[in-house]
Parts: sequence; structure tokens; C-alpha cells
Amino acid sequence: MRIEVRNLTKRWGSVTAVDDVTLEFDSGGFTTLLGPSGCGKTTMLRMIAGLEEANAGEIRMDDRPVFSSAEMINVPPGRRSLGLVFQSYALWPHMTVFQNIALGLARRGVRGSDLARRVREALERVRLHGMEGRYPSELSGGQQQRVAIARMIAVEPAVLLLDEPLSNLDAKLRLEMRAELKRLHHDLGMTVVYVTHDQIEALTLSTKIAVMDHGRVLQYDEPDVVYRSPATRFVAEFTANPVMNFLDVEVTQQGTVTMPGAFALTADGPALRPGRYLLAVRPEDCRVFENAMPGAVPFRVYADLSAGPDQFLQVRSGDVQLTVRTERRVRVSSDQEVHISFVGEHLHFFDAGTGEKVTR
Amino acid sequence: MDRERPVALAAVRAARWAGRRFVSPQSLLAALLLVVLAYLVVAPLFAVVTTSLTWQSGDTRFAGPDIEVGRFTLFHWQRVLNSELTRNLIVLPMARTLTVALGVMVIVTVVGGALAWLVVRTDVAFKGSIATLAVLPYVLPSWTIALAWLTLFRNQGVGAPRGFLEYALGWQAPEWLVYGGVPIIIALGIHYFPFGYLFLSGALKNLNTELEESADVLGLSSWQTLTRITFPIIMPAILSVLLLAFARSIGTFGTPAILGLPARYYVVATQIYSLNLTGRASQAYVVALALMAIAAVGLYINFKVLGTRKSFELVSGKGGRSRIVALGRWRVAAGAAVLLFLVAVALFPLLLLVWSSLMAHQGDYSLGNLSLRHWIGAGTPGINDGEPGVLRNPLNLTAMWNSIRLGLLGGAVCGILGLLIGYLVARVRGSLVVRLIEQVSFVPMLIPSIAFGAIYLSLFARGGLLAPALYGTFALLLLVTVGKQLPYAARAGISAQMQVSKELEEAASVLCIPWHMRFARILFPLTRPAFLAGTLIVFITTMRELSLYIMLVTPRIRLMATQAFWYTEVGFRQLADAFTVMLVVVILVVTGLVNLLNRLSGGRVRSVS
Repeated sequence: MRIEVRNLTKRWGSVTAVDDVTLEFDSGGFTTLLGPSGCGKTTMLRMIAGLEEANAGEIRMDDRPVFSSAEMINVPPGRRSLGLVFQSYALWPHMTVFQNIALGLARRGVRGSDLARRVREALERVRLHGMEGRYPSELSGGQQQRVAIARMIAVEPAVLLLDEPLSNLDAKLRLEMRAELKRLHHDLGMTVVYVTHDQIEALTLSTKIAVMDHGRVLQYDEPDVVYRSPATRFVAEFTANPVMNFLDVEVTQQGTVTMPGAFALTADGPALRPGRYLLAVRPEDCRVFENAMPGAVPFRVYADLSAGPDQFLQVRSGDVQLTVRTERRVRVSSDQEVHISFVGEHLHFFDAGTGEKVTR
Repeated sequence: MDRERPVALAAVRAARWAGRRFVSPQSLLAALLLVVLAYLVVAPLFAVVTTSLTWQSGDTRFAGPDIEVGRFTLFHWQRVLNSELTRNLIVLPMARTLTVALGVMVIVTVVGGALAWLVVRTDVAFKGSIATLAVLPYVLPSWTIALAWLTLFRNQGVGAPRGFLEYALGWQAPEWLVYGGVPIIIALGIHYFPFGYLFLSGALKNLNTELEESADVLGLSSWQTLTRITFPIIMPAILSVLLLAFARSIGTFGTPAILGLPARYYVVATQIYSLNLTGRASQAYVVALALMAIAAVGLYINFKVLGTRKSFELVSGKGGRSRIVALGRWRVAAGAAVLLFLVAVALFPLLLLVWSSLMAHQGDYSLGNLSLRHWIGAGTPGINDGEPGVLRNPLNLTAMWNSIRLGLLGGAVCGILGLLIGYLVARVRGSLVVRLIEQVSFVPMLIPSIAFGAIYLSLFARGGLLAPALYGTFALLLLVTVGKQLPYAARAGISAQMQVSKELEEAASVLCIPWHMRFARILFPLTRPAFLAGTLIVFITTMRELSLYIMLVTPRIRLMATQAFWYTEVGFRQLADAFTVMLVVVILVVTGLVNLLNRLSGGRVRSVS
């Protein structure tokens, strides 16, 4: 089911939680709303679910308006054919797993052996068969999570909304649940809208990511595009893995990128108008050489942060600090001189004032 | 036609929109509760004020025949507040009421505090028994202690039958010890000190002892720690205790009636009663309004002080280890002394009543005088005017049935209203209407019981369009019960609903489960323990409540409490004692049954996140 959101605005008193957002969620897609807490992503999700009423705008599901401030339409949550998995799971603690899943089905007229079969199928989907008789308090966090999902997919909604479903799980379980979610999306072919503040989750799971901040969507693209070509300084910073290097640079008349007091490089980057810019480089887009190379800038090793196969180096030159990542191991010691060059096509230039991406 | 269609369509849509917006279950519920509260709280308050400001039919006695009933007049206010009768009508009773309240506050805080400290913070012996006995006086009807007091101290010197002390020791207690302020303060103090014990032991348990230990480490003396650290931190609890003792004792009727009226020692509560009894209801309402004003001032002061101290409440929370004071060789002695005291004030009065109820003739404590005639006798000419025993009087059984169904029904209605109010407050935060509902539901708390009864009398005695003449019906008793107990039920309901995450309900609404099913299947099961506890508290309170009902019962509809008081009033002392004992038994039996039923039907109620 395709979901269209048009000019949606939600205010809490004087605070604007969602600010004139227009978005289209592809049918069968896995769309993630990514952003820091308070960016309006959960409010967006709750408005799509119908649990929150927008002040202005329109929401359409397969061209059927489910909310429209102009046409005075607001379809209640239960009639929007969607499921919602809460961050807290919101399992009914006084009901068994079976009862938790059966309530929504019973409401839809499913009875008797049909009911038992549908509950069992839903539980098998989340790989929890045989747990029907347990109470939520007798389940682990990960199992509760699966029951919460089973409860919603049992009624076969066209859209599944997930609100930070993995944030209460430990790191190992989170990895496992990511795989389960991806599999579930693949098997059921539902439209999924997913809310998270974790960029790795977003990049791993999504077919499309909407990066949000202060109630606005800053970029809406496929994960790869978001990562490779962030639209603003904020997107670059928020999707960093683990960090993004930011440098205040100046582009000269000749097209040379200089950082006053640190370096000058003739990057094969975009032809930019001369002026001040903010340059962002991901750690993996830096090359490290032990010896001087043309186009490489000398730095001193501040600390070697290697862990396992990944080698991260923190290097400094004057006030400038970079985090770089190398694929092949380089033997370095603190204070040793190394030479760093940037891979030209992965340099991101942002307007020093607005933080918007600058194109040639 | 065609040109009109878009308009019609828009109108339909607008109606649907408005319908969805304003007739949501929550809005409907809010509207409903607003009406209920207006009926239970606002209308009676309005009625009492207007009645006190208009001529009533009975007023010709005071003002001559040419008054116009229903016309505005300041006569009643003038008579109470500014006439030659003012001193006796209100000044003296008010001064006595405040004196009694002050005395009760001191006893409740000191006795309750000392017990709480001993149980929570020392290694005193017999802790378990102390903790159990310390709550008992509050479970007994408030006038039990008063009746026991008279059985003990009355004597022929004050014109009463012989009491136990006169019989056993030949000692005649002076009149000030038998009737009046001193015994009233002591009897009420004994009845209410469990409040102090419960509140203060709770505060002491929650007090993080690391705060005190820090003071110790810094070299403060024990006394300095107590006065500089402990007291300030538990101040909110102390203030709550003081307020509760104050609010309850100014509105209580039974004890001052039993221990004050024989010596014409009138407090405000008994004054309201007797004014009403002698056809001066309007003046009674003026006095009742004055009492409410005093209660409101007390509440306001408490809010003021608590408001600035509120941050201390955050200090409590999860207490660390308790710092136990070792009493050493005083451990057993102190425990025994406390136990003796508690037996004397809690168990002994009850036993005295049982004994007294078994005496054929008053004042004769010999074994030969023991008899069951006041329980099951058909009535002996010459003793208590031949009144039959309490179990032989069909009126008493009706009264018992009335009391039980009033308590259970009132408790259930209160419990449901409390849960609904709690639901609105917890779910629809910030709405003005909901805040109004919350505020109004707490108003009855600052209306003393006797005044609350008077208010309902003024509204429902005459009968009108919205308030039928319910005087003398069970319905009125139910209404007044629900109105008076609503604040406590609302508080319990709010705290119960606050503990249920709103996402539990939202998950159901996403699954298209309608509101009534969400309430029945999810919210109610999760808040059921709170509902039952609330129902039970209202039941116990209702069973032994006298002040609220004393002006509302009629010969047609009696309650156990009012019946016991009637026995006292007409001087059938053994019957009063017997019936009071029976009331205690009924409370204990029904409480036990409700608990048992709950346990048998007990669904598995698990932690509510």
C-alpha cells in the first residue's frame, strides 16, 4: 500500500513537531524515518497510525484519504489497515501470548480452530511457536518484541509501522532482530514504515531513508545515496559511521582546496566557486601512506584506535584533527608522521553558512 | 439540485468531522462525568448557600407571620453571626471544635510518630503485634471508644449509672473527666492515631538513611540529625497527618455527641445537628458553611506549606538500608509497654463493650448479672423500656442490610467513577474540562462530613425539578456516600490509571478494538486491584460512618451506625454496646469475604508496565 503525506504539520502549543512535511512511502517498501530524538519522526508515525491528529495537511493510503484537514477526514486507527509495534512493546500484561494475539483476530470475526491456526502461524512467523501459554512477564525482551510484532501481523495489515522496536534490546539481539525484520519484510511484502535514531539500523534495513531534524525532512533517498551523497551537513554528520571529519576550507581561484595553516590540495573534486566551505570526509575515504606522496598531506599520529580488522587512526596537524580508516594494516606508533590523501569523488562540500550541499 | 450537492456534501463531512472530534468516547465520558459531578458536588453547594439566604416555611416562629417564603434575606446569617445568640450559636462551639481539633492533632502526631519510630527504626520487641494492633482503633467505629469511655468512667456523681471504675474501686471520676472536651480529645485521639502511625511509618521507611548517616559522618549529634535532617525531610508527611486529623475531627459527630451532649458541651458538629433537629435548618447551614470555611483555610495552609516543600518528596523514593537503633536492655520492656498501651486503647474498649452488652442491668458488673437478653431476649419489662434484644428487632436486621448494601454499592459506584476519572486524567492531559473534573472531584474533601450531610439535606428535602424529594430514601444515602467518598476514589483511580501505559490502549485501538472493549478487556483488568481496594475502603468507611448520615436517616430507612447512636440517645446502653459490637463483626466478616472472593476469582495480575 502506497502512503502519501502532503504538507503535514503538527504543533504542540508553540512547538512545531512536524513542519509541512511531504513524503511518499512506496508500496512494499521499507522506509525509515531517521533522526535524533525530538526530530518529529515518532509524531509522524503516530499521525500515519491515526493516534495523533495533525493540525494541517493530508495523508492518503492508496489514494484514499485517511486524514485531510481541508476535507475534514480523519479515519480512526483501527480502520486504516495498519499495524503498529511500540517501542515499549505494549503487550497486555494480564493476557497470555495467545490472548494478546487473538484479541485483534477475534475482533475481525475469526473464531475457533481458525483463530488457533492464525495465532500459531503468526507465532511461527516470528519463530516463537509453543509460547502461546506464557505471560509477557515470562518472556525475555527479544521474545516480547516478537510477540508484539506477531500481534500486529496476525491481522494481516497492509502497512506495518515500527517505532524504535530494537532500542530496548542488547547489541547482539539487535543484530539478530535486524535479520528477522528484513526477512519478515521480504516474506510478507508489506509496506513498512520504521522509526529509528540508529543510522546503522536505517542503512541496513531500509529501501529508502528520510532523514529528519526539527520537524523537517532533510533528505529522502535510498540508503546508499544518503550515505554517499548527504544533502546537508546534518545528514552527513548523522549518518556517519562512526564519525565524520569536518574541515573549514577555502577554495582558491585556481580551484585548489586549502586549509589555512594546514594544507593545500588540488583535489579533482567539483569545480567550485572560490570561497569558504565546510568539507566533510568519511574516515574510509582517506588514504594513509607512511611516506610522502604527491597530493598527500603530512599529519602526526595522535592515537591508534584499531580493533580487530578495522584500523582507525586519529591524526593531527596543528588544530586539525582527522579520523581515518585504512583497509590494510599500517604499522604506526604515536607521534609518527603519516601522509593522508582524500579520495576526490567522495569529498562533500557544504555551504559554510547554510550547511546545504554545494554542487558544481 | 446539482449546485446544492457540494454544499450538502460538505455539511455531511463537517458533521462527520465534528462527530468524530467531539463525540469521541473520551469527550462523551468527560461530559458525563461533568454532569455527575455537577449533580453530586456543585448543585448541593449551591443549594446550601441559597437556602441559608432565603426565608423558609418554618421561620415564622422567629420572624412573625408576614415573611414571604423563598424571598432573599440575611436573617439567618445575622442571627448566627451578629446577634445576642452568636456566642452560643457559633463562637463557643467553634472555639471548642478548634480546641478539640488541636488536641487531637497533637495526640495523633505524637502517639503515631512515636509508634512509627519504634516499629520502623528500632529493634523493639513484639514488632508484629504492635504493627497490627496500632491500626485496630481506626477499624472500629469512631464512637466505640466514646461508649467504652463512658462504661469505664461514668458514675452516680454525674447522674449516670455506675461505671466500671466506680463499681470496682468506688471512685467517682470528676465530671470533666466523664463528659466534655478532655474525654472527646482523648477518644478521638485514640481513634485517629493510626493515621499518624501509617503515614509516618511510611515516610520513615522511605527515608534514605544515607542522608542521616552523612550527618553522622560529619559529626552532628543524634539530636541535631533528628531536628536538622530527619524532621525537615518527613515534614510533608507530618503536615498531611496534621491536616487529616484536623479535617476529620472538626466534622465528626458521634464522639462529641456521646461525650458532650449530656453536659451540654456543644461543638460545631453537634450544634449543626441540634439546630436542624429544632427546626432551624437554615441556621444550621450557616454554621455548616462556617465550618467549611475553616476546613478550607486548613487545607489552604497545608497546600501553601507543602507547595514550597514539595521537593522533599523526591528525596524519598528508594530508601537505602534502614538504620536501626538498638534499644539494648529496654528492647523487651519498651515493647511490652507499647503493647500494653495498645491493648488498653484498642482491645480493651471492645472487650468492655462486649461485657457491657451482656449485663442485664446497667452498672452491675457481677457475674450474676450476665445475660444474653440484650442480644436475643424478647424484651424484659422494666429494663430499657422492654426493648427487645438487638437480634430480635427486625428493624436492626433491615438496618444491617441497608448498611451492607450501601457500603458495597457505594464502594462499587465510587470505584467505577474513580477509574473513569483516573482514565480521563491520565489519558487526556492538559484538557481544561478534564482539569475541571479533577478539581471538582476533590472538593468534597474539604467539606466536613456533618456539613456534607447538611448540604444534601438542604437540596433533597424539598424536592425540585432536578433534585427529587429523596429525603428518607436509600437513593439519597447512596448519593451522599458517593459524593463524600469521591475524592478518595478519584485519587486511587488516577494513580492506578497513571500506572497503565497509554500505549497498551493504543495498541488495541490500532487493532480496531472499540472503546468499551478496550476498557473491559484491558484497562479494567489491569486496574482491578485498585478498584477492589478502593471499594473495600469505601465499604469500611461507610459502615462506621455516622456523621454523614445522622441528619439524613429517617425511621423509614436506618443504618447500623445511626441505629447504634439512637440506642445511645434514648439511653439503652447495653443495646447500643451490643449493636456496636455487631457492627464491628459485620465489618470484619464482609471484609474477609470480599478478600476471599478476590483471591478465589483472582486472575493473574502481573506487573503493569
